[in-house]
Amino acid sequence: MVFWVNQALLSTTLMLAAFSMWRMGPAFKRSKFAGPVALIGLAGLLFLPEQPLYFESDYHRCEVISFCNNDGRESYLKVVFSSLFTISSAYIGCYAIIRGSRIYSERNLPMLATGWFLLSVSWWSIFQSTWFAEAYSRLDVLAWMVCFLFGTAATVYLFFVIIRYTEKNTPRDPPIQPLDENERRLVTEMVRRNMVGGK
Amino acid sequence: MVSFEFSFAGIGSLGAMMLIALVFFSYFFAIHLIVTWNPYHRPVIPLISSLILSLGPMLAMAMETDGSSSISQMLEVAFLFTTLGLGVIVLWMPIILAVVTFQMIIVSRKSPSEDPLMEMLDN
Repeated sequence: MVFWVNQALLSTTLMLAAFSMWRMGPAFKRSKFAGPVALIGLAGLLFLPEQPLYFESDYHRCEVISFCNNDGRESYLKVVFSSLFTISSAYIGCYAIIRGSRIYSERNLPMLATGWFLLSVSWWSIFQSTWFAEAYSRLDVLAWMVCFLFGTAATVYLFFVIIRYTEKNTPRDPPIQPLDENERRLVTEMVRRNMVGGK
Repeated sequence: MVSFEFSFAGIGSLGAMMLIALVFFSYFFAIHLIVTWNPYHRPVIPLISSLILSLGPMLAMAMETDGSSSISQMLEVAFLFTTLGLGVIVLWMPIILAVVTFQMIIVSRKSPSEDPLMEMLDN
């Protein structure tokens, strides 16, 4: 058992779980656990333990699997760090652009400019990475990417069929009651918060 | 010994990438159904399907060499599948970012539209 590999897997799982938790529920009442779970996952990804030493029981395992040694770990960390930097700057930049534009309220030029600056930083980090240039100049890597897309589409279709089968072949629930006054107010509040920026 | 040469029944690495996508998204879907458990979504059949689709290939690959498997081998294969899946998603990042940037250009130039729903809320 290689410890850093297991920690990386657990942390990735926690990040995926946090993402799912964050996207569930009404827009103004997301799961309270999503943030802490994401932080634990992120910390686990960034602070990976080193390769086992020669006197540890896992040491010989690293001789037979290619990604276990310190080189593999450093390559993994490099990709994680650069991806996180690109994604976080793009995410904050987009958020600032949306808040600074005239969609929800009056235009806020400093906010808009900050957003575009952060989005440019994200592009800059991509152009700094030799990884993308190398990958995009290789035909086999481009073919992998396209095949991954086909695999993704096939998976989505497969789950669509499975969910449709489940919906058709399980007992139907009785028709629900119309919204009462409290629920109607809740839906109105939800729409208001989504469409006028929480005002 | 775990070997990570991807060649499944002569399909080669292109078929392997499709399999990685299948395993990765099935794994993600299984996690999603578990952490957001809601009986009204009827999650049992989708959850069992996603667990079979994600754990089946992992188990097959862990058993590929000597016909036996251990938890540690399973975890290593799971790490490999999730890392490769995320790696290919990261490879798509410049294209995704180009689409997002285009959307942000539209958002920056957009002005709020007259909306009857907003009027209804105000009244």
